[in-house]
Amino acid sequence: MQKLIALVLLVIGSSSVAMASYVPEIDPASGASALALIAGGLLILRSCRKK
Amino acid sequence: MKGPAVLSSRHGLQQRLCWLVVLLGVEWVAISATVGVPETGTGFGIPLTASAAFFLILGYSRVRASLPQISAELQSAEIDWACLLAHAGALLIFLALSFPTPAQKSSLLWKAPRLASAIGAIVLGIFALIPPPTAWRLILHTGRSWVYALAAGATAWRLSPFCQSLWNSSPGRVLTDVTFDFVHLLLRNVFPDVVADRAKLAIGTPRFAVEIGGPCSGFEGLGMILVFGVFWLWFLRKEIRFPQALLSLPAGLLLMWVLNAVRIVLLISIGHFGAEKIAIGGFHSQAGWIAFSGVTLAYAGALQHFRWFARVQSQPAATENRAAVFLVPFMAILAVSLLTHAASADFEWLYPLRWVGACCALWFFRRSYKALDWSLSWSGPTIGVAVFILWIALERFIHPLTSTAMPVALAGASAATRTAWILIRALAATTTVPIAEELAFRGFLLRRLMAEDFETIPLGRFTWPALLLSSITFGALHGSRWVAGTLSGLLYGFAVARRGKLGDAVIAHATTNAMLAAYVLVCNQWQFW
Repeated sequence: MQKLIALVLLVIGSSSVAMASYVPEIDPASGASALALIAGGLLILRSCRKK
Repeated sequence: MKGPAVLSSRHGLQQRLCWLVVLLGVEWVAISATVGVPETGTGFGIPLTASAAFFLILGYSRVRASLPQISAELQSAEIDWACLLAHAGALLIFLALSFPTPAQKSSLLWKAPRLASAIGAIVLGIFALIPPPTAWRLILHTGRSWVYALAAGATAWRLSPFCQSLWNSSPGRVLTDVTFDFVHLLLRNVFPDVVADRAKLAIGTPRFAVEIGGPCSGFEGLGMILVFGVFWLWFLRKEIRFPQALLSLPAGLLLMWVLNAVRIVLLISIGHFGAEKIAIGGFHSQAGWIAFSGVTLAYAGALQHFRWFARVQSQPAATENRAAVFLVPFMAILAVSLLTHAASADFEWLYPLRWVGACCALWFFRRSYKALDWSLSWSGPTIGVAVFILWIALERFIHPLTSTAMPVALAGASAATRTAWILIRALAATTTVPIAEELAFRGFLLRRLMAEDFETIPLGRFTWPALLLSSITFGALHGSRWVAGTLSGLLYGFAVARRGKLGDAVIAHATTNAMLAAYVLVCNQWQFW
């Protein structure tokens, strides 16, 4: 049941994300920079958790 | 002299997949350069991509347990050269069919064999590196993932226009009205005269108003937070407390929605105070990413640090975060570049702030960098020159007609302003950019892809998958020049591997950037900046 809910939420989210290709707010040219920034931030967050 | 240290060079599954990516990637570039980007057909790109993404996520979670065994079996399997030859043959047929006459273009008799040859080439390429029985077993292990993936991709595809229409149609009008009212409320606290037309969804001040269309509604931002939120909850499922962690999802969505309204208010404010070009040309296209990055990191940080959510507590602040030492300078450049783009109209006058941001980050961690061995050798500049030649050669091969003159805004500025901007641009390219990028990609990512505790891997050690993946990531950040970026990443990786000194990669990178700067200024090739 949890997996099903997660999948449904992912599909709904993906549907909205698919709109991003038409959207000026989500500038693809900045996408790589923003995603790298997020990935870097997440890696830093992950590395400060207790092992 | 010690040679480069390469770990595990035998051909397991991971290595074979890497070679497959390289093979298909190189062929894709060559095909794109020869016949243009192959079309998937009207509207099929989104569902195919969505299905492939779902299949990879679902399939990997099912097949993960059997991967070590399959990989061990592949170590003894030979590469099938006959299959590789057949792959090349199918590719040639595809190329031969890629120059249709106008009459053939819409004919199924032309489209079907072309599509079949493309699919055949991909399948034969896979079979050359992964024997068909093993590939079949891999697919069997994924169970019904492909059914779910196809269903999810198709649903996402059909739901997408519906989600977009929600902004203007009656079923989603509630969210539209609430957003509009919230923006109106915020604006009234900033400006005495607010112009609002609810029917047209137009709002602003007498000087500057905007019409909030469906594509600008912020729905896609909410969707992205939803996708990230679900994924991150799943990823941290063993480290967080349920059910309270589920509350983070609506909290993240609410924060994104509030920031979306703030974005619209800021857009109107920037336009109202006379900077219409910055509002439309800069801020409008960057604010979404800035908000998304902020919410994503706040969301992940809250799940990890708030005791109510987290089962595992973070390290005390006094402990140095080693990943931050290597990543923060590069992240500072990225963060400042998002802000400077948002505050620019057509030319990034604020570029020097990137240099300042990187300098601040490097200064903050200066003691940690002293511990690294920065000794240099002749190989760094040599590799740097080689990368410069490669960069120019590829540019001429792939984009032969893109040379551009000095940007109009820069040419029109006073001599002092122009000189200062160019000097700082060149200074950043030869100092902070190489240091920050080499720390992030060769110092951190290359080793992090081999071990979670990346500092247990000495600098200079690499596995081919790690080197390839870190180079592809480095290339991806160079936009349309991703091929040159990826090859440069490989060469800088070899620069570190030769002696195990990060300084060699930094000096190689700085040499390339210095030569590019000279090339831009002397030969008037501004497309490289």
